Amino acid sequence: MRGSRLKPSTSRRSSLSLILVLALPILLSACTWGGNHSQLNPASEPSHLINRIWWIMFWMSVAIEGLVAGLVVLALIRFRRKAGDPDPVQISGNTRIEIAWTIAPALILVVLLVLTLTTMINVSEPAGDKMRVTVTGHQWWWEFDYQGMNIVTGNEMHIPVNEPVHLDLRSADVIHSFWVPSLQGKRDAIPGHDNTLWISADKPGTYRGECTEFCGPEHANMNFIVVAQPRTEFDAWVKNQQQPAATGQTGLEAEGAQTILTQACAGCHTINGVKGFAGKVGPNLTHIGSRQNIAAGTLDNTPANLARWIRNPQEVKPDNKMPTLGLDDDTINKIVAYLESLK
Amino acid sequence: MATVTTPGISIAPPPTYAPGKSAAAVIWDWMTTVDHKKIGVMYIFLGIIYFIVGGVEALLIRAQLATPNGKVLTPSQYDQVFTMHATTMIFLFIIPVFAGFANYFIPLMIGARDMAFPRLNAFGLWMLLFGGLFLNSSFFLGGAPDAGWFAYAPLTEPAYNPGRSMDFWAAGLTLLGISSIVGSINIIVTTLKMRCPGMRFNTLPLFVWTTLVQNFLLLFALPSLTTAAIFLLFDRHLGTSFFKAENGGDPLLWQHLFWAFGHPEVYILILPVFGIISETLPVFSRKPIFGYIFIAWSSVAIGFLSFVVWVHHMFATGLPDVALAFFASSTTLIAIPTAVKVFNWTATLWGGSIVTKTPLLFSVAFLTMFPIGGLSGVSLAVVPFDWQITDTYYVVAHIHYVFFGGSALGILAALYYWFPKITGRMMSEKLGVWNFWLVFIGLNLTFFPMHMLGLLGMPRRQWTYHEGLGWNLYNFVASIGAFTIAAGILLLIINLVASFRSGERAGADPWDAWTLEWATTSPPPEYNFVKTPVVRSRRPLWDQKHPDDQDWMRGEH
Repeated sequence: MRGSRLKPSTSRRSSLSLILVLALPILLSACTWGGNHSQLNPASEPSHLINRIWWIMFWMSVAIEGLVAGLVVLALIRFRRKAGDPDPVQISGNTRIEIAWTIAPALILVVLLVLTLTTMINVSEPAGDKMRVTVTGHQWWWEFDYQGMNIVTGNEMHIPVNEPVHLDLRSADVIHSFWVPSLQGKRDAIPGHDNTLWISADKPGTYRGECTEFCGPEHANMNFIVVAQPRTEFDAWVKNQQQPAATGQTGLEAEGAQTILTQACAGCHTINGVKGFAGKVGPNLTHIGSRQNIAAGTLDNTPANLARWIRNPQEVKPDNKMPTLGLDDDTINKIVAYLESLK
Repeated sequence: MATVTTPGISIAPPPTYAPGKSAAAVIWDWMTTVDHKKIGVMYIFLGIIYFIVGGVEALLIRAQLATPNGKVLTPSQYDQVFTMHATTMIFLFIIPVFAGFANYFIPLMIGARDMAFPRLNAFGLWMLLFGGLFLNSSFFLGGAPDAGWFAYAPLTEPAYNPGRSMDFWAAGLTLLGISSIVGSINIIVTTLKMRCPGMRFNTLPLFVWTTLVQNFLLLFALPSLTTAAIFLLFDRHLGTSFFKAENGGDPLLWQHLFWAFGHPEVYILILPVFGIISETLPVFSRKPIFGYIFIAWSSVAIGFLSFVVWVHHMFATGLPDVALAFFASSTTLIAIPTAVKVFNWTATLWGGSIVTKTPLLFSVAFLTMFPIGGLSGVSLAVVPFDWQITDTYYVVAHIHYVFFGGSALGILAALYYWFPKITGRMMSEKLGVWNFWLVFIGLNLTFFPMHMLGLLGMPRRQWTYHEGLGWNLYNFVASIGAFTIAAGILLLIINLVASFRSGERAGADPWDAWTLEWATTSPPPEYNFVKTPVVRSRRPLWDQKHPDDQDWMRGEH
């Protein structure tokens, strides 16, 4: 009697440790929901709807996995063989039970499928006139061309809050995928395909986006931001972006405006209002001074970082398409002063 | 143990090895052998070697990503390593190990003396060896493939990938494909034509059943990959434009061809494990499998359905909503036969008398871990959620719960279960238990946090990540986990080598099991059985050991 009482308690202890091991990752995962780049922090109608279906699935999965793992652990405790145990009853099945547990998951899955299809319909693009932006993925940066508005930006898109924006997704080279987790599911930009997507944000903020289709060595550094602003702020931004590039004011800025003409920059970059600056390989620089990041989210946009980038882009972002031009510090400082003045 | 003989089954005398064979003669013997068991052992051996290679690649990935802005690998090195990690684990570890177990055990389990085509069998093995060497030689010949194991065009076109690495990939996979196709033809014909008297489809061991389905999948899925790979080689070398949009080709054609192979492939990598678990759970629970018919035929259902779900890898490519709805439905449907199996296995344990030896530990670990991958797989059928989660670390977590929590744990269960049959010696239980806990804890530490990384917006296949995104802790834990798994696998290798040299003698039937491979000596003689066995039910050795309570007497098969 005493022996038999002892045995279950030891096996219970080992099963407790098993449960702890199973629970550990869940405990670990409860730490943080992430910032403005997480689908667990939705900030738009479609992302709220998708987030809701996720939590339904999550608890469903927890229940099913809990049931299976629980029964397995319970079986290991209850039916563990002890010395001298006879062979158990040789049961080889039960058709009724098996039909039941074929139908049960089928019903759950039908519910899930209905949720899937209704959510698909609910997150589709609303009708009506919208601002339209052509989003082009390049190895390894994003171009945003506001259709009919004469605005082209790089790696930073501004949108008005609570207004749906239509996106035409294009690729300049290989397949990329446009994703802003807090705002919308992703959509691929595929050469030869005219894909579309729409986004909106229900509160002002800066939302991080990224390329999510493997597109070569610098796939990791192909990020962008979506800045959602109240309508008036957005209109002011639009007005500013439509201006041609500022001409250098201070001495260093003015010198930089001259120096940049003598370098190779125009081969790849555009600066509206500067003659001969119409390259299409790299981002449009007309208002680069107004942007928060450089090199597709690789560095914060500060004069020191911009200088570091121009000095040796291959050190900052290996394998990217901007060559190291071997400029001296004096030249770099002038160019940085000029570019940072392009607000 | 059972030395009584019923008609048809008898234990063969221990094999006698000719003494004093020179090393050269032994090597020559293995190189020229057409014995299905030696070929099977070589398949498994090669698979384990490549498991180590692929594992080292995984450790490099986890070392690079352990901290933000990691400096272990450059971007192009990282791309080679992650591409070769997946390619190696899928084509050079899991498929060959399954081919090895199938080669070794299918003839034994169906009471045959060899495979249907012994020489074709040897050919498949050597194609695998040379295909694997060819693929990996690229590391030393200008760089390994670096466009991902999925190799999406146009990133693989010469304009974006001018080196030779993708040629190695396309040609290497074609070679490995030939190896797999001849192997699968052999296994299918053997299973259909070489069964011993009394072995009907209804009495076939479940490992044979699921492996049969798996080989049909290989046979019908691989041509799609081979076609895609050859189109790619044409594009790269003959100036065709199958996947070049600027000339009227279509990059999406690649994805359709690839995933029409790639999704059956997922089931190719898991079906034999369904069979393995269906062998081990009953033996260590001391009662028959619960619902044999459901398990066998749900495998067939999975086989058919696996060919109509491929677009769920392409939900974000902008296909029409109607197509997405169709593939969401088919993907949802395929979860049903899988769920049924999980319940049947759980019911097999229930009411049993469970012997907690290492093969059982790995089997129940499979039974608790694989459903996590299955459930996250169901969530990927939910199209809008998939739009959020595809190509993030959530999917990396999903596939690793399927392939590590599923396939690899099943393979470990099979190694511990069948090692005594292959070598005649037992593996160490003590090392086995340590091996088990390290792998079990390690896999959860590695792959569970990846769900979180995906939900928190971390894309997959990126060589580095920035600070301040909330990803540091999860990545660090995942890296700790990877090295924990590595420690467990190291113990496995030690256990395999030590037990092979000096393990306890196993005897013919150390687990008191019921299928025919245990009716002959360990290791079996070249001819397998002295007399062709005759069976009357699914558990011929149970019948033999319980002459008064044979399964068929109770109306069981």
